[in-house]
Amino acid sequence: MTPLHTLLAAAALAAALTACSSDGCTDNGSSLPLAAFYTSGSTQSLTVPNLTVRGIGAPGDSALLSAETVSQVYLPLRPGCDSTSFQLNYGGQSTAEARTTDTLTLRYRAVPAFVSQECGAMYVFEIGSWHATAHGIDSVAISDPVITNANRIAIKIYMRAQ
Amino acid sequence: MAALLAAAAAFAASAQEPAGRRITPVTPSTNTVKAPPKGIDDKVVERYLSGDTLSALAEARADSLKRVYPRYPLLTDVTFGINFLDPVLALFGQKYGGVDLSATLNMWNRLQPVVEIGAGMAKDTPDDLNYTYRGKLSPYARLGVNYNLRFKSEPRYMVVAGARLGASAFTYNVTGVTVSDGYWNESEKFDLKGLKSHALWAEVLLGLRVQLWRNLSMGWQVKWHKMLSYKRNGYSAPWYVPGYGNRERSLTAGFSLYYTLPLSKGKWPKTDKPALAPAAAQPQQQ
Repeated sequence: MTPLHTLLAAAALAAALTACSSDGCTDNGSSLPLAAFYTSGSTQSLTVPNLTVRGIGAPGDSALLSAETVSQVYLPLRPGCDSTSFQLNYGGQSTAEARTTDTLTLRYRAVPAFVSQECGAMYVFEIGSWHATAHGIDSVAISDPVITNANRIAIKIYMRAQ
Repeated sequence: MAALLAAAAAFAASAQEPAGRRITPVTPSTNTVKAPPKGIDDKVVERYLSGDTLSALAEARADSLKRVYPRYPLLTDVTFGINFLDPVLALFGQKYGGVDLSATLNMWNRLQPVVEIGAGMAKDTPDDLNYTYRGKLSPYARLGVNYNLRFKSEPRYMVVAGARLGASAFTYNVTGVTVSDGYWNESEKFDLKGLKSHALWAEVLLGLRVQLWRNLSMGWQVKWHKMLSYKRNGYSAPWYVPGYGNRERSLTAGFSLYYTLPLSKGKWPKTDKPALAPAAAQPQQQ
């Protein structure tokens, strides 16, 4: 192998290395707590009918979900505050049925963090406590008190059996 | 990937020993030669060492000549190198760079303890993300050893396999961060400054070095490395580690210029003195 061959091989190698592109951010672009619904007293996932979720104090009273039937919902926390409340309104599949409304409040600490080159910097939330009204909600469990950009269930909401 | 395969093919081709070839005999570049088994004609050995392996093997058994090759002294040479691949790649858009200097002791033209020291830094402001990352210029060091796969040949052409242990202590800043939330229509700004970290990693490598002119040579290395440990800062983790590069990538490379100082006279660059026949006749203790 001559010096020229060595140089050409090195150039090919450098080109290959620089061509290795990033996979991008495979997790969420921000720290979002994912809440999942369960039937009280069981580990069985529950699909909640006609669920409307609003952040209390959200601009324009906008809804995160509007009359959707889901088993999971993202609850975005306010980074500049130490607590965020959500109103959950559900049920009433027919017009005659009454709808149930609960309020869930999460208290937390927002910690600035640099997560990775691809995902960037964001707040990580350390959930300290929660409070919920009990009209339809039986209990709440924080299964992962550190909310990062990982796409996993952090809050389990157990609903009363109808 | 195709370029990598091409480089690997060239690498493999250069590492192969010729199974047998017939060339015009030249003065062999030997130092001392282990004595062949009794009964082998010195002239056959001389032809074998000079590269005329086909005619030599035709007269002697292959296994009888297996251990007949130049033996280099304990301290063959010492080589100083500068690895400048990162600055070159920085010209083509790489967001970090560093330069390292190396010292390699060539023992028996086979084992090569290596010390590498250097400094690296990073700066990245991605267009589609919300931060500026600055890794301050910080030192690093690697310790390890190479094994010359072409130890039977002259030191001016080497194919080496090696291992390294690397370490660095460094500081980084993440500034200009804006976190916006579309639902709450709020945004917050923060900076993370003076984050101190350290890292320890291991590398294995394949490398090639060829003589350019007199004592100057050049070479490249392909390295696979793995982070053994690093210090996080709360929920933050550095993406650039000096001497390692991007913490999340396992493949890297080096391209270096070298200057070699012979430690034994007449070993490299080789002299033209015909010294084979007497050396071949003398048993050597290795």
